[in-house]
Amino acid sequence: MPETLIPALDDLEAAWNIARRDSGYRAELRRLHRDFIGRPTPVFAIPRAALAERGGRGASVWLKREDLAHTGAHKINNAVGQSLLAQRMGKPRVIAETGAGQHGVATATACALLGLECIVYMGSTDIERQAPNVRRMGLLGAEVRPVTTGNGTLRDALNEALRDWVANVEDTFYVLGSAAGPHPYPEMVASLQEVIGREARAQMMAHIGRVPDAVVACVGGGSNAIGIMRPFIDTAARLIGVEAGGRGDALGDNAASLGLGAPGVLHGAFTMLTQDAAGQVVEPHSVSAGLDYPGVGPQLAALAESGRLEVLRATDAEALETTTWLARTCGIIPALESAHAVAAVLRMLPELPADAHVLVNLSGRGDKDLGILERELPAP
Amino acid sequence: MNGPARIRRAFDAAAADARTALIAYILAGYPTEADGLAAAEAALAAGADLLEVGVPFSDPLADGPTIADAGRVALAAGGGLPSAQRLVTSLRGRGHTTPILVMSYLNPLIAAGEGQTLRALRTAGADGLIVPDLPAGASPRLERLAASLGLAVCFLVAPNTSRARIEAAANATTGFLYVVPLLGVTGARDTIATGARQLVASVRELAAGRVPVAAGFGLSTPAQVAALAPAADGLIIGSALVAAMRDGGHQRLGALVRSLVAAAVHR
Ligand SMILES: Cc1ncc(COP(=O)(O)O)c(C=O)c1O
Repeated sequence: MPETLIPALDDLEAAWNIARRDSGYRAELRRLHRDFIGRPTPVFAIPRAALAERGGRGASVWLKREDLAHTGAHKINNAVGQSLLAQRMGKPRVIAETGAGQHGVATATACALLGLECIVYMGSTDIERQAPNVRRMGLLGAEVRPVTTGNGTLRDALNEALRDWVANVEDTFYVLGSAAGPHPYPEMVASLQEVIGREARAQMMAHIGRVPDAVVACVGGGSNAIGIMRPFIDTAARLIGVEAGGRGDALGDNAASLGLGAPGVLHGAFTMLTQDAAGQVVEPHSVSAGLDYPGVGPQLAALAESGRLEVLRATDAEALETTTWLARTCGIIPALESAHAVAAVLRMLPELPADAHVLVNLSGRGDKDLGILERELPAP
Repeated sequence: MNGPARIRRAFDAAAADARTALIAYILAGYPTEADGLAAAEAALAAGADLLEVGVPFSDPLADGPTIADAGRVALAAGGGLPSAQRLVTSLRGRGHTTPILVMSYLNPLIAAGEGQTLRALRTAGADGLIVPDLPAGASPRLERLAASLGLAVCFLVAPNTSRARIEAAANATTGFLYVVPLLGVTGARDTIATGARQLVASVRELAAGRVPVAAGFGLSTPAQVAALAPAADGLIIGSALVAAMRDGGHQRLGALVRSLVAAAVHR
């Protein structure tokens, strides 16, 4: 990280360490979870008949319905927590980066509620492919700044947000959208997303009287994955992260930093990156705008290295097919990101014993992807 | 002569001439590898006291549009650390003895293993490293490796850097202490940031002669150089040279360096 950001990161860490133990902050966060975000989000079992169609032999697949959270994705959990912290720190100006636009919308939403100025950096390519979210941010009073550098995607937006922060560090709070980037973000974001896993664990206990056999989530920067998985790390449940396999395993054709990348330093974190032999970070590809981050949070990288986290990939085609399938059989249109996680489970389904229970993080809803789906899928 | 000594000697020589050392930043491989070499030679012929060889990077988050855009052009033309290393080798092969500092983001330096990479840079003839996304103390291993190879490391300090961290940066720096006199990224500014002179002076006082103190980021004109020269041991010009290269090739770059060197004379 540039030296200019070191004091800001130190201040952030200190403020976060106070806030996370502060009963006032925690109570306000709990209130907003319940009354603003609509937590707890339910877990929902995909109908047996639908699973049987896909070779299921009786195993149950439970969806943690983050798509039902306010603004339509898990991103709001983090955005509200950090924006509340910005308010406590007396920073009137909030900046954020966004890929799919979900984190941008979530931050714009939290800032609208809390009376903070909100500027969202978004790559120009993403602005095109996630147009509805751009309009939502505008409606919420946020300014969306298009980023035309690089390929105009998530990592370019993150670079630009960091440049803004360097220049305006005194009055600006940077609400980073995933469990990635410089310390203390990975830890803070994981803590703010852990509510997903805490709720899900209690809900699974209530439904089946035990923890599930596997917990599955898609992996972009890693926030929905670490959020649902952390409360299960100390259990026997398999932890399975699903990366964007894109259109193939060649460098630049996917966003599989854990499965196909190499260790390196980007955005202040030592983690796995999609990069070439000379250390240049290569633009990842995914049909979903929220998974094409070239790195991954350091916690997931460590869990993968230790073998605790199994890492799979789902391709663009699988994610698209799964999206249609889930829509038609369950009446749920998942975000393309979340569809990657479900796709990997569908692949595993024929091998799962009848008494298996799999918990999948349905991290968001797919309304934002209608434009992509229209382009990529044959008309019904 | 090892890197730190060669760098020190260049600052001393400028001071003996009643000048502030002029440090020219050249983006390696911009717009092509051959042009990068021409740019470096033009800067040296125009009297630059030290040379910074910039390595284009895919995610240049400390750089403004001028260097970021140029970096993309250089990368597309095959630029990167291997090409920057060839530039250093070529300059030494042509007999240039001016100190050369390689300015690179951290990831290209560590991708192939920092031991191998730093050794290769030193063998090529580099005297030091500037790593804009590496704060002092963040990689003791890299600092140790560089020291053992005779490569200087220069750390950066900004207007919001605490006194304690300035001390730490001054202690860890073995080349020159790099003062960024503004909050922001690289790129020419119309005016010198308010407080820049004072910041440079106070950092220099804290450094207390341990290492030379040079200021960069935002400087572009001879007038700005003349205004800051009395406060600093060195001044670094980056984006303005990259822009000159872009708009008028190495001839324009050489002319600009000549006028900047002239402006750095103490009056
Ligand atoms: C619905 C949804 N799921 C997942 C992600 C990926 O992010 P992360 O890996 O941080 O959960 C995004 C990112 O935009 C998203 O919008």
